[in-house]
Amino acid sequence: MVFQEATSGGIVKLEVEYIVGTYASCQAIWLDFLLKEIKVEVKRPLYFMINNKFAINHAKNLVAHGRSKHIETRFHFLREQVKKRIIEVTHCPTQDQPANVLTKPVRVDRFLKTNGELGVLSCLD
Amino acid sequence: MTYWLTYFLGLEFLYTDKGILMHQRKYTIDMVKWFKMMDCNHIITHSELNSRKEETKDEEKMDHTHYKQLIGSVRYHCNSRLDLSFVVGVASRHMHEPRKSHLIAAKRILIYLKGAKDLGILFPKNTNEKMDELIGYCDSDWCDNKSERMSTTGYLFKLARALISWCSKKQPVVALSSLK
Repeated sequence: MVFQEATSGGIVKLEVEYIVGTYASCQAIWLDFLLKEIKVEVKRPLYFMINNKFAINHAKNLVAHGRSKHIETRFHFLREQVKKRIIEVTHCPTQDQPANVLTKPVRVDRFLKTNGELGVLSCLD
Repeated sequence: MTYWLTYFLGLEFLYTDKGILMHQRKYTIDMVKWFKMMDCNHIITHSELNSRKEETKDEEKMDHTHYKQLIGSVRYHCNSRLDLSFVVGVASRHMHEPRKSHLIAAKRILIYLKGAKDLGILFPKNTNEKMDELIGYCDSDWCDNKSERMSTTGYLFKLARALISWCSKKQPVVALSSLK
């Protein structure tokens, strides 16, 4: 029971994280085509950083268990791409996840740190 | 003779020894002036941490044309600023019937922008390492919208350490996952 409680936050988020993975993989494949057109070769597989281990395991292992039965079939696109080795999903701890600023209001220190990581600079420097 | 791109549709490009910096300084100043907010004190962040208001029905109604103008102008700014996408997205959800607290939140974005007008995205110079690496980062917030039970998702892509694509969006599906 203790184990379940400790991981509940993660498993609750499985579905949403998995779905965002699918949306992002569509965008990644489009970007890949676009870059190919302007003669930029991108290394395969493309890396995806997700901060939910359940979603990662779900994308890597082709199993359907009780907790994921309700996820719509079209969202299993991510899994297909992982299987074809076009995309590779890896874990990234929440505190290093720059995509956090796109989903929730973040604290000032976090906000400034992410800005630094993403190359947001002042034009006066 | 080569011409360097410096200004295009409100986007300004600055060539430095670190790389190319894309910013919208002039656009920001014009926008803040247009909304007569030039005299505000600036703030570091664009949104309050616990600003998610669920019930705003009994608040005073605001002029929605003014609100739409404000959001529209700030939205164009999202082209060069990743950190704005989320707040602007949230603010756009009340476009049809803005209340007082929504307008205050939207004006806060403007005040923030006034202080952060010099910021832009850097496209670093070729350093011969990881030039062909495309990395995606995805994240989501589960059920941040209590009334609709929708989640917000966001992803961004970096090519050769430069930020090239990003998105922040309310998911069109209602997440069902829960332990019970």
